Amino acid sequence: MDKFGLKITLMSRLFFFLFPFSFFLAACSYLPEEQAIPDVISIYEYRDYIEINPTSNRYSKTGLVFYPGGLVDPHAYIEPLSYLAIAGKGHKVVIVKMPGNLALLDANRGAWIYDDFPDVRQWVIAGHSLGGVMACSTVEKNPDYFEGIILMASYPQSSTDLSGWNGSVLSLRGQFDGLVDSLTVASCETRLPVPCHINRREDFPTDTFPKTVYFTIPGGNHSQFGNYGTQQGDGVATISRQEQYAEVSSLILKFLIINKWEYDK
Amino acid sequence: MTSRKLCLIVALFPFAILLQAQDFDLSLRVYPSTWYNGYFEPGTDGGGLVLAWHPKLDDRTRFIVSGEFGVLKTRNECYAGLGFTRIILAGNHITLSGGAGLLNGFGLYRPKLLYAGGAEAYMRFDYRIGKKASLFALIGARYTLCPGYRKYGVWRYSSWPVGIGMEL
Repeated sequence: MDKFGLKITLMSRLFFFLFPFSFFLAACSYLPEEQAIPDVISIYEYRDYIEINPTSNRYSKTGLVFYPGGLVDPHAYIEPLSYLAIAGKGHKVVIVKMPGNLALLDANRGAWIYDDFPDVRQWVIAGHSLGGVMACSTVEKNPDYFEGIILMASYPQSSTDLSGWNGSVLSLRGQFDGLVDSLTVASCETRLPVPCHINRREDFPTDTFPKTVYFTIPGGNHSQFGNYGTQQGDGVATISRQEQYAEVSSLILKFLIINKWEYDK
Repeated sequence: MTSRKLCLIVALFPFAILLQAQDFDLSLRVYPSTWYNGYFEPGTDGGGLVLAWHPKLDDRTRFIVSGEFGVLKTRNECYAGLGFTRIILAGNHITLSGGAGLLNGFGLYRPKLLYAGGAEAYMRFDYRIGKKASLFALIGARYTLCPGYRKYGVWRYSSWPVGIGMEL
């Protein structure tokens, strides 16, 4: 074998070992950090989803189906979403497990939720980051399945147009989000129902149908929508994780109440 | 060199290796399942892409060294596998063989990788399409676990892998 052939062979062998290595590193998911889960909720673990209920088993007839962020373990959302599970009249929350922790690989997974939970009358779909992108895609494909969308540091992708959708959207973003900037969120406003920006919780509109309510959580960041540490590239939050969870769950509760979705089972 | 040419060369490297090499196969598998973490519930655990090298030990037996990238419901994972296959029936174009192997690898998590391991056994049906190349299908049983994930959620799967592939 001449020198050139030897070089090619060595390079190809090197590539053969390095390519999978770099690919595997890029495919790693964030594990949850230590969680403080209230003992007034029950958690049921299934192959396809995690179900969270108030222990009393009394909850509102509106359930929340949630898509985790890309490459974030779904268990990292149990603690933040447990705040919502026990807020107000209580809520059933279903965290969908995605193949490889990428909602992109099964964007329509939330649409079968009706069959498994006949006691929930209506559903709101929520998603963090990539999960929110794919939640919008799920609603576009199944516009009658969901009453509302909650986007956490997220926005619809360019191929999704929900501007004519007859539902309500709540779009939340942390002030120090280093991964999803406000300009990107603003540039996607035309693909969601009529925008309504609020700066204070007290300014929440009395009717959000069909509107998109935008709110920036003061001091919040991207990673604190879940419980998986600080994501690479994210900004530094000036509020604690628990403060961000409480703020998010109270805003979601307000969103449910204003839309009259908060009623007894 | 334009970046497009560079990308093409980079993309073709693995195939170049496969073409130079002998006794390699590439297969795509899905993992239908009936049981996880002690619960009976039919469903699908995920799928995987397996690259295997299988030098002959004798006329009927082959040693298997494999690498797998798998996508499950809560993780991506990679395995290095060691095992063997033995030909049960052989015809002009078709071969039926049985195989078994042990898997060792990682659940791909950060900040740390979690050990994952398992075992599998399968029946493989090959249809020869050239002097050395063949297409094959396989079906089997497989048990995998990721003990470090036990405190979070589903950490044990038993599935019935079904796959198709090509041998060069």
